[in-house]
Amino acid sequence: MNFLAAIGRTFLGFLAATGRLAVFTGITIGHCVRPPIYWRLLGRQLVDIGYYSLPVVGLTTLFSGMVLALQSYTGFSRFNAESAIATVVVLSMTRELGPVLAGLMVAGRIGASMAAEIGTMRVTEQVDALTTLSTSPYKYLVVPRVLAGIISLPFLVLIGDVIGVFGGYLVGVNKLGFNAGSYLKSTFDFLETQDVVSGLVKAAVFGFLIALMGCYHGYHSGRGAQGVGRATTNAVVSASILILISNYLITELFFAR
Amino acid sequence: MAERTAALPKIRIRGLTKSFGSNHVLRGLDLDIADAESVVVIGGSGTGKSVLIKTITGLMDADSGSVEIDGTDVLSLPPSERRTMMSRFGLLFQSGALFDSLTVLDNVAFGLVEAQGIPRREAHERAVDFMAQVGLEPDVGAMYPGEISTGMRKRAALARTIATRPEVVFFDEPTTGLDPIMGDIIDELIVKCVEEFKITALTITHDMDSARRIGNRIAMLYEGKIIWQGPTTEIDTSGNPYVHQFINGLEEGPIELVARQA
Repeated sequence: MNFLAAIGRTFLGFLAATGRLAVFTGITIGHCVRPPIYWRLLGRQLVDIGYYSLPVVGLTTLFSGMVLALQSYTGFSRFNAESAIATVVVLSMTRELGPVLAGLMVAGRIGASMAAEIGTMRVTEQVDALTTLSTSPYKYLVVPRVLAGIISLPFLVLIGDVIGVFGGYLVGVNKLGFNAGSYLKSTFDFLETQDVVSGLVKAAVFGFLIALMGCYHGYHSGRGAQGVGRATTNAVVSASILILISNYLITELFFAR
Repeated sequence: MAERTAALPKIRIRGLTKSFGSNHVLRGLDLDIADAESVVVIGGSGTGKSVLIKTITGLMDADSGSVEIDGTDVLSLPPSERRTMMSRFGLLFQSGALFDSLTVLDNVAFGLVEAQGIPRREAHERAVDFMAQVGLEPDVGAMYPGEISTGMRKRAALARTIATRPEVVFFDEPTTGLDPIMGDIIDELIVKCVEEFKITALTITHDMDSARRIGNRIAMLYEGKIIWQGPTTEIDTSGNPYVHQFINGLEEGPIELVARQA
């Protein structure tokens, strides 16, 4: 009986959390499309999320592109398909690796920091202070972060795609002995607009999810340092899981036959 | 009608209840506060003093009851009207709750810019005036809350609270965490602000020295209700054993007895 009660409690807890998240998301989207927008704060978040994430995203995609070229070569050489390496690198980077790796890296860097910052503000009553000063915490704290996430991630992914393809090019030309011209030709011959667009759509969705999770968990942070710590962990874990799930769904939407 | 308006309290609280699970914090609290009156609610830790302020200001939803400001029940207002009503309130938080990411000047000017739409430069000029009123030098304005002392943070928070010229101000444990000298200074600043700006004030504290200095009237909160209220000058002769025990800090008395029974 206790076992059943525990299952019931867990299920009800899950439903309550889902409801809270749905309400939070609804209010956030409502505020995103209604003025005023705090442009200064949006600008600051764009710098934080976009500009300061460039090194980590750049390094991740560079080495991923290099590894992809190297691994593809060792695999494809078994059935004489080495010439497809450039195409594999560019398609993998633009469709999957670019958005997913950038999303996961930004989730770790930005999702955690958003949850910690808003969680600390919650614990120290700064969120309540906003309300008493006639300022909506959603408008002031959540909307700039969510909009910056949606705007920044596609740019980061676009740059990450270029760097990743360049990483593959470096390995292909300098280590595997491909001709530079033919490598580039293979790179662009089979690349379609949809490959890049699908990656950018994924990036925008990931940006939304990362910021939403960071803000949601920070906003509903428990009391004390432990509560903020838990919020930070939950933000990163939930954003990462949602990135992987939504990645599949968007891929299905774009490429399912 | 004019007579009725004159007799109407600025704040009228009736039957206010708030529970957290099985913990019934407010149990039908009634309290009236007249216009420009300064009322202090005293009570032990965990008696629901902060919950009282948070339910009145809308930071927490009450379970039942009414909170009328100038005759309008704010708890039954739709959210947009409630926000407008709340813009007439100010709240000095126990911790100050200054925004870490903003300078002291930006903190003090925050309500002027965001709530009243005053241009940033003009708001900063006004903020400097309010900082001066609470004894903060202009150069403190460039500092961040983490760089100044607790007393200065409290002053800055007070300046931020009064800068929007609220009609009603709530003070949540204004002297907690301050040394006695700084506590005196903050109390004097509160009295000065309340008198100068004709503010209706509700202060919660368990610091009796502070309560005597700030309040025209004192009310004692116990077990979710106001069990005694009267002019500050009469608290020592209240005849209420709970009040007597609390204000004299006695170990023996009904409060301890009830706590032991619980």
